[in-house]
Amino acid sequence: MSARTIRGGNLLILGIEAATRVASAAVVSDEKILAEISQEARLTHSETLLPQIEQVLKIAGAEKVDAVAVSLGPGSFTGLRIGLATAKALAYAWQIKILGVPTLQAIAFHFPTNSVTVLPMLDAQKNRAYVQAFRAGAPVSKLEVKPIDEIVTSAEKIDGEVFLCGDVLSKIKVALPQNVQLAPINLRMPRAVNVALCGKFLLDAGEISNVMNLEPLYIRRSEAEELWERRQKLFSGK
Amino acid sequence: MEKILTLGIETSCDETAAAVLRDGREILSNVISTQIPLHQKFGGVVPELASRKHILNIMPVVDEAIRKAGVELSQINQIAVTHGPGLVGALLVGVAAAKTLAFALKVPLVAVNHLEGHIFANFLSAPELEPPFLALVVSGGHTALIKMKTYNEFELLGQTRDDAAGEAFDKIARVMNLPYPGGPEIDRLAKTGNPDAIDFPRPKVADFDFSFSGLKSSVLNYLNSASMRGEEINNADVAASFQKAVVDSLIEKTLDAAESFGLSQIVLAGGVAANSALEKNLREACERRGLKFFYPTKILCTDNAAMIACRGYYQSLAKDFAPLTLNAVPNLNFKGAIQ
Repeated sequence: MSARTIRGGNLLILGIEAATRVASAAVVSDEKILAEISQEARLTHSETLLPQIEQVLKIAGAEKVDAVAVSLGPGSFTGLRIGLATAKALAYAWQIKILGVPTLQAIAFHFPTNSVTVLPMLDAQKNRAYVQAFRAGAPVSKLEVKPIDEIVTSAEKIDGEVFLCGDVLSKIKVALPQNVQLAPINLRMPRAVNVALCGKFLLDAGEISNVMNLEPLYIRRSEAEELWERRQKLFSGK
Repeated sequence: MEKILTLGIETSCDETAAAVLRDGREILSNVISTQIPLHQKFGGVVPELASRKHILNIMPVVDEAIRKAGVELSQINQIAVTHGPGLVGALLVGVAAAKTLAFALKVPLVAVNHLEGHIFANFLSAPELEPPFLALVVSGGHTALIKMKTYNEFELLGQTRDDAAGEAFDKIARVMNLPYPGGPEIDRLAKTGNPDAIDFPRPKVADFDFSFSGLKSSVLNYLNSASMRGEEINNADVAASFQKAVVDSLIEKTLDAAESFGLSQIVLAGGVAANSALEKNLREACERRGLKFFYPTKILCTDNAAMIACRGYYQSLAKDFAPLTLNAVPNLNFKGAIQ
């Protein structure tokens, strides 16, 4: 089912990406990227994201959009919440659909081919990364949290060429196996245009999120909860 | 003239709140979603969990505030949001949502200081109140005396040099194994205790500043040494005596400031304002001196968005609007607000 069956004319999707240090906003129509602004600077997403959205809408000549797609994570907890609060408020105020896009999948959209495996890795603290394998933009493994070097080493077992993406590539301390290479910098990080395109697939599939209860994909619990649980186990002798 | 509708949003700590105000003082709705049960087992607010709850609750709370007010979102004229002080991750949820709503609805945004909001809660519970007055702000993180000259001109007369009064309450409650939040627990316990049982030292600080760390240490020392000696501690007496020391010191400074600056109206504000002994004793002290005493209703003492909308309304009269680049300022103090 194409988006056109939902509504005639050009369907506009706003993509919002704030899961990593990249703040990015894009407006896409059915066949065009009308505008995208991405930055990986020191400024906080709280300061940059909304002005970026204002700009891409202006460039696209759009007063409003038909749907907002937002990068849901995993990633920086605070960044995810800034992106999601922004997307929710837009969806609520404009009464438009909200689409929750898994961040690792949005990164994997850089490689629309079955001939390579993509391993997007995003910082999960303590030298670990959130990781999932994709081929042609579709997941071929479960989302896990693993030590960075272990991910790299075990990629040797994957058949064929493997590209590593994400924000932890500078933390790799082991040699890359022969079949593994780092993605070029333009294909490494999540971008709002990928989020918008990924969102369009969700829209076409009818996978629309609920603005009233959508939450980030945290994967990890808060440190306080983990600590509390460890203490409980200790005291109960389990 | 058409009345102004202000939507207020507050997420600085452990309450997700939204409210709609008509002009400066008429509350149309005041919705508060509290997280206290979530944090209870940890003995205090866990910032990451608070933020997670805020992002989950923000739209339902805003939506409920709009519906209870009986207005349409499109009728809202301006949006006021707390941008500090508070927990940064928690503040950011409200700030991002408020900024985006203002952008999407094409209405002005007002950035509100949470502490100023607490003072303005009094305008909501006392329609006749007008500046000038003296405000005693007592919360978990702040203790301050403020002279309000007009709605938009303040002067910080003094503040705590170390712990806030609320911090001392929380810390002592934790050592006494009282459940979180500790302040109301001490207040409850103190009602059955003798406030003159233990003579804890009254802090001596110059001018209109406060200090509570010495008093806090002295209470903790008392509890520790009693438990080391294996003595039975009368928790109610400790709570009552400690609370009296705090209240005495707050009242003394407040009355001194009122006299020095010739102010005849006293306003109590902030989360600790809900403490019954503070409210009762300050009220009585004001009555003895012929001063008018103001104190917000219980629901307006806690963190709420109606007070934020009220503060925002008066800021908007002075065209004090915020840009879309607005950020959270976790350690925002009164000083930044003095114009």
